[in-house]
Parts: sequence; C-alpha cells; structure tokens
Amino acid sequence: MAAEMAREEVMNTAAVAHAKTCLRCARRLANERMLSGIVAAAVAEDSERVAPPEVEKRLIAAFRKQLAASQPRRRALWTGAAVAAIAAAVIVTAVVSLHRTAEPPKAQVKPPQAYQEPVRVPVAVPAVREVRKPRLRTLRASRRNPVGPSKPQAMEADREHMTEFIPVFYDPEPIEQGQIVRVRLPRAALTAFGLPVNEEHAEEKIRADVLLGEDGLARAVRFVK
Amino acid sequence: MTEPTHLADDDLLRRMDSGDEAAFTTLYRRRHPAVYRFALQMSGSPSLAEEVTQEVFMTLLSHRASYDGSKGPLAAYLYGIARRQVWRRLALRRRQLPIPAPEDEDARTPESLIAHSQVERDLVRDEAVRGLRRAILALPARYREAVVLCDLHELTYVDAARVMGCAVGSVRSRLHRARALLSERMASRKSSSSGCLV
Repeated sequence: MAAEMAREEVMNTAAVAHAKTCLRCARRLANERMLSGIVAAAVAEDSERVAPPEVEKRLIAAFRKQLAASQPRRRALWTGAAVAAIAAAVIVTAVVSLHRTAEPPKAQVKPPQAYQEPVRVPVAVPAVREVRKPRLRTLRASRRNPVGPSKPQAMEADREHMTEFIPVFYDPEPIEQGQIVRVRLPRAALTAFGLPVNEEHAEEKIRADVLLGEDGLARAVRFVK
Repeated sequence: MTEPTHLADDDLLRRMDSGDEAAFTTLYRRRHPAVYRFALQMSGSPSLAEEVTQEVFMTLLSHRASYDGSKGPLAAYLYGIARRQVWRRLALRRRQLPIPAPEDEDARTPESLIAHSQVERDLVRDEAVRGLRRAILALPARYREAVVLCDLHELTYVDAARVMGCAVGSVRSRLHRARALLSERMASRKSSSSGCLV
C-alpha cells in the first residue's frame, strides 16, 4: 500500500513536470484539477442529503410489525419443539416395548412341575442292558425344547446327580420333541430299571425326570439324586 | 448498558435481532444517507432514491440472514442491495437519462440535485456542480457507478469492486474512462459558456 502510494506520488510529480512542457497535457491536467474541485464541492453539498423522515417512520412501523409477528412464531416454534420432543419420547418408548414383546421368550417355559402326579412308568421293563438309549437327536430335541426347565432350574439340575435317560421299552418311534416332567417315584421303581435298591429305604420316594413324547407317553426316565 | 450510537454495526444488528428498536433506528440513521445519496446520484430521482432506501432496509429486516459479516462490512452489503434496486428500477422505468444539450442543460437538471441554499455561494462554482451532476447522470451506467462510488462516496477501489461485483482492475479502468468523459464534457461546457458570455 505504501509502495503503491509512493509510486503514485512519483508518477504525479513526473506528470506535473511533463505538463509544464506539453501544452496538451497541461490542458488535461488543468481539466482534471478542475474536475476534482467540482467533485469535492458536490460531495460537500451531498453530505447534507438524507431520505425524507417518512421513510424512517415506515421502516420503524415495519420493524414493529415484524417483531410482533415473530413473537407468536417464536412461541409456536418452542411449542412445536416441545410437542415434537414428547412425541419422540412416546415413539421411542413404544418401539422399545414392541421390541421387548417381539423377542422370543427365552425363559418362558412352563412353570416347573416339581410335584406332578406320578406318571405311570411301566415297571415291567427288561434289565438295563437290554434297554437302548434314546437317540441323541431326541435328547437334543428335548433340550432345545422351549418348554424345558427354566434357566435357574437347569442350573439346579446341573448340580444334581442323575443317571442317563433310560428308555422305556415300548418306545416305538423316535420323538422329535418331548417334555421332561419331574416326578417322585417309589425307590423300588429303580429295580424295574435294573438299578440297585437299598431295601431299608425302599419305601422312600426318589426324584425322577420322565421324558414324555408328543403323544403324552413316557419315553425315558432318569433318576435324580 | 451501552448507548446504541456507540455500538458497531454488527452489535447493532445483534440487538436488532433481539427486537431492539433503538438499535435499528440507530443503524438506519447511520447508514441510510449513503444509500439514499447513492440512489439519488445514480438516478437523479428523489422518489426512486426514497423507494430504494426503503427497500434496502426492508431487505435488511426481512432477509437478515443474507448478511454475513465475514464477507464484508455492512455498508458494502447495503450498497450492493441499493445498486441492484437502482438498476432494476431504472430498467423498469426504461428511462434513458439523456445527455443534455448545452443550450437546455439548466432545464434538465434534476430539481432535487440543485442546491437552493447555496445562493450566496460563488455562482460559478454552483453552476459547475450542477453541470457535473448532469454529466454524471449522462454517463453510461457502469461508468456512472464507478464515479459515484469512488469519487462521490470515496470508497476504496477494493470496496467499490465488492459492491459492483467486478475486479479491482475493472473499477480502475471504468473510473479512468468515466473521469475522461466527465472532464471532456465539463471542459466543453466551460468553453461553450465562455463563448456565450462573449
């Protein structure tokens, strides 16, 4: 900026010096000076010019009108925002509830039937050696069964000592799904499956899990200690 | 609380946004003379200048968000709106301001641009100013706005370029050409006046 001003100053000086020797340029320079003087006079005159006061009045009226119009709009904006927030909260709550409802019932099982009526388990079963194990698929299917024991119950079952499932002999068809029912049987029932029984406790009850097929018939039994 | 008159334009705008009428009034009184004069000098019409001034500040009120302080000062923004408004109105009126013939110059001088209060001044000087106004109004619009902004409003080339939406070099060249035309016309007018007197 300073360099530019200095350059202009040098050029002006040169121009003035040149105008002293050149008549045409001297006339141009005189015209320029005259123009500058008149422009300065015009600027001084114009400095007093302002718009009529009516313009200011009209603008202030417009300002007030706009302000009055914007206040309800601002209020409406806040109200709208509050309604939107409430609506969003309701929607989120509803979605969460629906999601929970739609989830597969992980632990929804039949209530444990700890003391169901004893199932009639055929006792006239051959010795244990003759008993064939239920197919693995059947057992897995029974474990997959959603109506199996609930988780806490399963944990409890894990702590228990139990025999393998001993199939009952009349099992005609392998089962795809089954239901385990905890029952109490006379300890003497152990003998029907070829298991040893303490004669002194023969009258006592013993816990057993009976695997029932879809048709309600017992397919296998395991004893729980 | 700070008096609005002591606040900068941007502070006044912020106050205006929060509904401060005094801030708006202060801003209007501070900035409207330049807008009004620009429109008047460009058009020679007080009614058009009044319309433009009102429209510029109405735009500021209704399209407040269109002003971005980081892009330039408020004054340049207002000049920009005023310029568009002037050009639009001049185009609508389709009124080409004629280059006045030397013999009827005085008759064509816009009444609003004649300083009646200057009767006690040097008559020659007064006459020269009137002649200058007529010559400016007779310039092509692009040259005219260069002279109005740079010479009458004393804007820098950079600010004028921002208002006119062109390069600084274009401002320089237009101004140079405009001054040459004005100088030429003023000189010819002077010589014809001298001739008349003789």
